[in-house]
Amino acid sequence: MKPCDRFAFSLIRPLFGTVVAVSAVLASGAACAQDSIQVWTRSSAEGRKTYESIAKAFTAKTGIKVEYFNAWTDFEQRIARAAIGGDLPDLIINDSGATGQFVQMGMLEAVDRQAVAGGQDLQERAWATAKGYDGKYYGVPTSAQAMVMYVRKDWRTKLQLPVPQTWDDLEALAKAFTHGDPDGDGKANTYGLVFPGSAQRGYAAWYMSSFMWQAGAEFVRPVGGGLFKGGMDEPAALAAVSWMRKMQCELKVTQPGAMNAPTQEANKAFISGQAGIYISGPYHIALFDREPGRDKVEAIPAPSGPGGRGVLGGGELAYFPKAAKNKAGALKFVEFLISPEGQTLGMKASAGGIAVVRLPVNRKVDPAQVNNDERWKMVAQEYEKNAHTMPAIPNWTRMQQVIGEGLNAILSRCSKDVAADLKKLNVHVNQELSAQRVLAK
Amino acid sequence: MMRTLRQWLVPALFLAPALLVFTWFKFIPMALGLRMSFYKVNFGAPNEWIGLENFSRVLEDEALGAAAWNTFLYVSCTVSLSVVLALLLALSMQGVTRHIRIIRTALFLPAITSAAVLAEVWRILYAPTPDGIMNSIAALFGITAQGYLNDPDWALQWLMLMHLWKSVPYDMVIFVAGMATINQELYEAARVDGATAWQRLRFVTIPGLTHAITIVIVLGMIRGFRVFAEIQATTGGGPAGATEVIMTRIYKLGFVQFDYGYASAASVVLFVFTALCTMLYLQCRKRLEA
Amino acid sequence: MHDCFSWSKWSAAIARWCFYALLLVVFVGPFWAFAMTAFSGVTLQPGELVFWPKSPTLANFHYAWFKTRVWRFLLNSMLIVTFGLILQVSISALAAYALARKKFVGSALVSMLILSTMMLPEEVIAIPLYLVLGNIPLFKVSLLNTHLGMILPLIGWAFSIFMLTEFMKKVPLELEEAARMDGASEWQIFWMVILPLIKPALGTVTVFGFIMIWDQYLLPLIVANREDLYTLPVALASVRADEALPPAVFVAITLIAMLPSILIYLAMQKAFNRGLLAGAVKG
Repeated sequence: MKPCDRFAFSLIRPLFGTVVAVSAVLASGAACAQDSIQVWTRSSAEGRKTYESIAKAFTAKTGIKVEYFNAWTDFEQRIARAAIGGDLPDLIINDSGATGQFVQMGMLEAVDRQAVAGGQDLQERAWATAKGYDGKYYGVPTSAQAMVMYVRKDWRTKLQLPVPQTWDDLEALAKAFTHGDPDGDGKANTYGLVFPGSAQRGYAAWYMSSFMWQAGAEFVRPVGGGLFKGGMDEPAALAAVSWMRKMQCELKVTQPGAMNAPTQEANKAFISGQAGIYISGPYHIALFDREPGRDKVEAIPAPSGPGGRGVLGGGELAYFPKAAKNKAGALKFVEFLISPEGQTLGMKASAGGIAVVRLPVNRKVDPAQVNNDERWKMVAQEYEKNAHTMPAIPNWTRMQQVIGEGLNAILSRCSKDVAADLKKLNVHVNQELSAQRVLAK
Repeated sequence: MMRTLRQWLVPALFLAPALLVFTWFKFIPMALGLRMSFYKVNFGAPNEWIGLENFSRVLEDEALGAAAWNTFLYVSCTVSLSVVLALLLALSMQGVTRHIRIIRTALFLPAITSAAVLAEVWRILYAPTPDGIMNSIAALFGITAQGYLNDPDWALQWLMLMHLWKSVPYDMVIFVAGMATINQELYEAARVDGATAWQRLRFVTIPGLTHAITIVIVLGMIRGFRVFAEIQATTGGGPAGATEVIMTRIYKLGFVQFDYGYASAASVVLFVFTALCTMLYLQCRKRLEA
Repeated sequence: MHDCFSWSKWSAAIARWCFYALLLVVFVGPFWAFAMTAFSGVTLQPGELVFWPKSPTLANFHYAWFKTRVWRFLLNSMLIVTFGLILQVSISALAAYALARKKFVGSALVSMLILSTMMLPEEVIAIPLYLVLGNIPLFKVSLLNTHLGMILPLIGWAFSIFMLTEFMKKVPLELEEAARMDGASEWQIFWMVILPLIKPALGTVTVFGFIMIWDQYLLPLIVANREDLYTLPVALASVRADEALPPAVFVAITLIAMLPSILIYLAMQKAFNRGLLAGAVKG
């Protein structure tokens, strides 16, 4: 090798080391602030803006700095990686569905409700989402929500149909939307019900949950003592799934491609005017106001089925990792977030941001007043009266995947014997319950 | 002794940078991954040793077996078709077409799409509505509107088509590069001997492309067995498990359910299988060459 | 005689142009339609294909550039690709030389080892890789949240080593022996004899390497915990899942992300020219 090459080679090792060290120093930044907390939130960039306005008020009040990290996709994976690598933050704000998983991962600190200042002002229903299957509380609720039904008002009034209150109304409306050319363009390109039925992430189960509760069914039924048994073989479950099968396979009033549609595609179907009925979260009120437009869309309570009313509810929780460095600071932040001031800041979308608190968990805050929008009163009522949460088994995500795949199979193949298929699915459900050690004998 | 060491000196120097990078960022993580497969990975608590339990679960998992069959179908069809089509396309790019830059650039577009974009574009094409693109084309031939990715019986085949749309241009580029290295004098000699176009193809072009063909087949196999992103982005393994491949299954079990130990074990099995297939192929090729 | 000749030439030309049209439609058509959604002001139905934008507008690009500030991600991606690609091609060429032109005990083993790095799915390696990056063995530093952490793991790529090896194998031994008799050193043989002869392969490997690094999703995802370090693919995944964002903005960002790959390919056309001028099959 030529001399100059040998020289170059000899420089590489120390050079490499220096470069690495320098980048590491530059990257670590100002992490060692005096009193600060690290908060990870599952939110988009817009949501982060609102969180930052909350942080500003908090720092002004207490002097504790807040370092945010937000991620929208892959959030749980990041948490898992951080847990393995020992880099968990002081506080994690995530969807309430994650409780079971986080508890099972064994990374959370249990919460003493009495020790949370202002905790007694929070809705009991909201606290319920923070309960682990062992009865202890593992988080503090910061936001609540309940699904509502969005209907194309312009289509409905054009076809002169009433606001749907029951499953029969919904069926009739869906049929009319599909066959009645409500957008008046002379083409048969409109459909009734939007159904994100993809097996991905168990969306089919997630969406069907509202209809299950409306039929009086449960995915898994609690039998007491923290144990459950599968509820998919019950007559109520059969009623719900058969009805959806009718909508999907016989009446064909769902949007095309429903069986492969994750929520992004379902949103597009509703926004673009492909279908006119969509049961979704209140976080879409702002999006649908923009397109198709506030004058065209109405948000109403979901219909009642054979078992009454019921919708998927939930919210967001603040979780406290065991490995947190500044637990006191984290608690103070949460107390601020659940106070009327924090909740109001969270609900007001600050410049360019979106609301991170949909329905306040604090009973003292009136959502309709803060948002200046009567529809939120309806959402709050739905939350109070009809919201159900997913069963409190250790790992609901796994179960949702199992049930989602099963429902997707039944609906996409247009099963001829739904009862038998549901019985088979129930066996899988019970197997999963047994694997999670909560199966009732 | 010195002779042997001497033999290694130059190769070692040339291989050093690559091997260093591989050791730190591939071999060490692979070893850690292998180690994880013998444990139940916990998050707050230390991992529990469970020996071969993960592996026995892997071998007993029926759904994984079904996914393996789908993967096998996927790989065999896409690799074989891709080689043939890419070769044909590369041949057609010779001669007069070489002047038409637009065609060459246009053909390359699918090769540079990422899996996510691929999924988005084909989701549009495969729209099951009667006025969707594929259905419109099908209507020209008198075929009724299909469900495409929503149809449990054909979804896998449609995904293969989507894969080919990207892999054929990709492989074509490799073949074109391969053709560039064929000694032109061989063609002259063949022409002088009065060989027809077909004979030139059989006796000059294809033998000259054996290296390129090996690359395309081996890489097609390796990538095919661990195909994930494009399937996850379109069907997620549905509908009704029709497009479930090994990696979508591993992802669901290991990552959605946070059973990293199991995911690692299943991946190790996949790895061993892929390695065996590759070695088998390379050995066969060596035999044929000799 | 004359008539026959011009008729057959004519029909051949028509057939050729039909073939080109078909290729364009099949391989470019979907992109065109996809791109048109980015220029549309209204959300298109799932599966709806347009060949001209519906209510044409640049609003989506405006949103992407100024609100989502896509230029940050563009910059990160470009930084990583520039350094990563140069290192990757260099390292691969060096390794390929050893594997293709040098006989030594264990070369088959090394080949297999390198190839094996492609066989383990990257999703599974992600977690151990994260642990390694957080605490590099021997050096004891963390490469998380650094650009270096997003570059270094990529510069070793079995595909380019494998491809360059196969192409280097084809260089006739006589050329190398002649150079050696002239007194050339290993480096000189590598640099002046072998490399120039495999230019098409180098060009190919550069382009594919560019694409691989540009489209990398998993590595930047695990390394970058700060949004301003995100590369384009990570940002795209994040944007896609954001339900508050107009769907067309996602398409706009996708188009911005695809542009550099196309430009690189155009720039590398020269390396491919030789292959296409081969005239292997005279038409």
